[in-house]
Amino acid sequence: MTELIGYNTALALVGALLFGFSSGHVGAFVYLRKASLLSDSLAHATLPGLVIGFLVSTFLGMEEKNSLVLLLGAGVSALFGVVVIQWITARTKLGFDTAIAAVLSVFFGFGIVLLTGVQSVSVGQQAGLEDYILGSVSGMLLQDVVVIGLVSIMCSAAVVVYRRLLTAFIFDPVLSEMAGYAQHRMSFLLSLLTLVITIIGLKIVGLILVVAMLTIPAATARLWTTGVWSMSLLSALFGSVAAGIGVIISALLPSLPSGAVIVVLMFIALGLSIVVTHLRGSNV
Amino acid sequence: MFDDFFLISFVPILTGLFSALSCTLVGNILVLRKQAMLSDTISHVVLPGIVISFLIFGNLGSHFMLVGAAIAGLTAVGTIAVLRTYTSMDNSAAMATTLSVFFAAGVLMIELTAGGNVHLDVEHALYGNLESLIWIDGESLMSVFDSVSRQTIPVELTRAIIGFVLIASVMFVYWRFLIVSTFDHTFAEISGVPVGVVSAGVALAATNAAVISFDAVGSIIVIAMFVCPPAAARVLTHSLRDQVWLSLLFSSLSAVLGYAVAGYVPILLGFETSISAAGTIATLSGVILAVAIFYGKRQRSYDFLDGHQT
Repeated sequence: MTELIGYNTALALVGALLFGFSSGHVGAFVYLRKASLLSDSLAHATLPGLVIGFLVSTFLGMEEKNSLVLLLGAGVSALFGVVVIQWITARTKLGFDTAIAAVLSVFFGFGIVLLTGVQSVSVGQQAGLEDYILGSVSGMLLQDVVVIGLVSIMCSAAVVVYRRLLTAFIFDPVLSEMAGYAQHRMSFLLSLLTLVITIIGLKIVGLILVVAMLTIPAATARLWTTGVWSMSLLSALFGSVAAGIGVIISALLPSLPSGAVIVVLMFIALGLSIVVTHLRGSNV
Repeated sequence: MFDDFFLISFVPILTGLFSALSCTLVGNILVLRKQAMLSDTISHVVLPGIVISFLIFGNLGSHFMLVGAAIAGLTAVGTIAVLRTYTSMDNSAAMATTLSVFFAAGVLMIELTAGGNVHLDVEHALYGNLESLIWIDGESLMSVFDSVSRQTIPVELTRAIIGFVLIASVMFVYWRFLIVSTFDHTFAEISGVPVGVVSAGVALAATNAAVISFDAVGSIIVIAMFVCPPAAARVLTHSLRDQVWLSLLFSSLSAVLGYAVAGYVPILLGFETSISAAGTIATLSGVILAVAIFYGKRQRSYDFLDGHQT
């Protein structure tokens, strides 16, 4: 296999297959919870953290593209975004939509200020940073794939363990509360999974399009089945296949960002599914 | 430092200002309708429209770009409606799908045709390029009144002013329709207000504002111009009239101060080049919102983790 597509692409392919699987898996529950756009906001809110992570790793004299430090920065930044969203909705009459839109754009704007600042004082190559905006698999290292793979497996494992509790929480919050599972804890779990998937997806899909990974496969799977568990597995399968094919196409045509290719592939699958399920009359 | 003000800074400041004002006007309505994320969707979906117009007409100055982007915006609204009809998607999932697909398509178009394009790249689409709007014949304030040197004013400024006037006058004329369908949808419907047309009009106005701001601030930071000033004003007042005027004030403040800070502060601090003006404008509008929330009255206590369903 590695002779066919090259070591680098094979690595990226493994990462994309695992990430696609777990993002589809988690995405099914996020979709049923109708909370898709939260991940869009969190993804954009990672930019300041990415740049600061880059500065820190350069300052400490690490390898310039030490992705662990960058991802840690992204995580802290997005977590701060969650806190700000919570603060705005708790303190004011402003809607949840306004809060996530404000966090999305202001954090991204501040990230751009930092990015252009880094460029103007020119500490080393910041080229690696732009890969995180639209996704690029060309510079993927073994350690990136190990991190993405392990975290993906952990997220899927969490979904397997908590699938019944999540389903109860989404469809019947009162029952779930009465059974002793506080709503805010289940909501926190789902937000945490969203956050983690968003962050490990930055490298493969990029921060602008990562929301699609949590939404489109789930919506496609929902057309084919009514069971929550079968839907989440089907969604994981769709996510995995689309991410895999997208990475291969992006490796063959390096000018095409992998994120954009993956999103267009997933949308084609969604369109075909709509047509086929309607022709069969099995749209559910 | 201020000798070349009219050459370098005059046009970018005014373009940023009118873009910001247009977005903020529409944003007031979006925030009240709880459709703030519609600005996110629209600012992403205009990208393929702009790219196609660019490929056909060869530059970003063409007024057909507005038409292309408007078509893209309306197609996107149609896509959202189709997705909501034929799948189980709610509004937020349909918007997330539409914005990512249109943006991805725009990015692929840019990359596939990258050979000839010097003016349109993905970074430009993301965070704009306010600093590039140089007025070659701009020497002093008198140049504005000189018809020869006026011809070299970048078309982006003209377009921003026309767009602002258009949005402001349409909103002024249909103000009552807008308000009644925003605050009491059912009452508006039984009173014979064409609520569907009003909703489409709001989407179209948002598209217009997003396109004229595209050059200035790019497709993501524009969301800050839509959302932050109206949100800050909403926190401080319960009067709609006050809210609109306050939001316009905040929006002008962030646009003008943002440009000034980005252009002059790094130089004063001794760095060679400047930071992104668009990013600074968004950051300032966020700071204004944060200060407004911090000093504004506490309006209610509500936990989004417990009960949000948008």
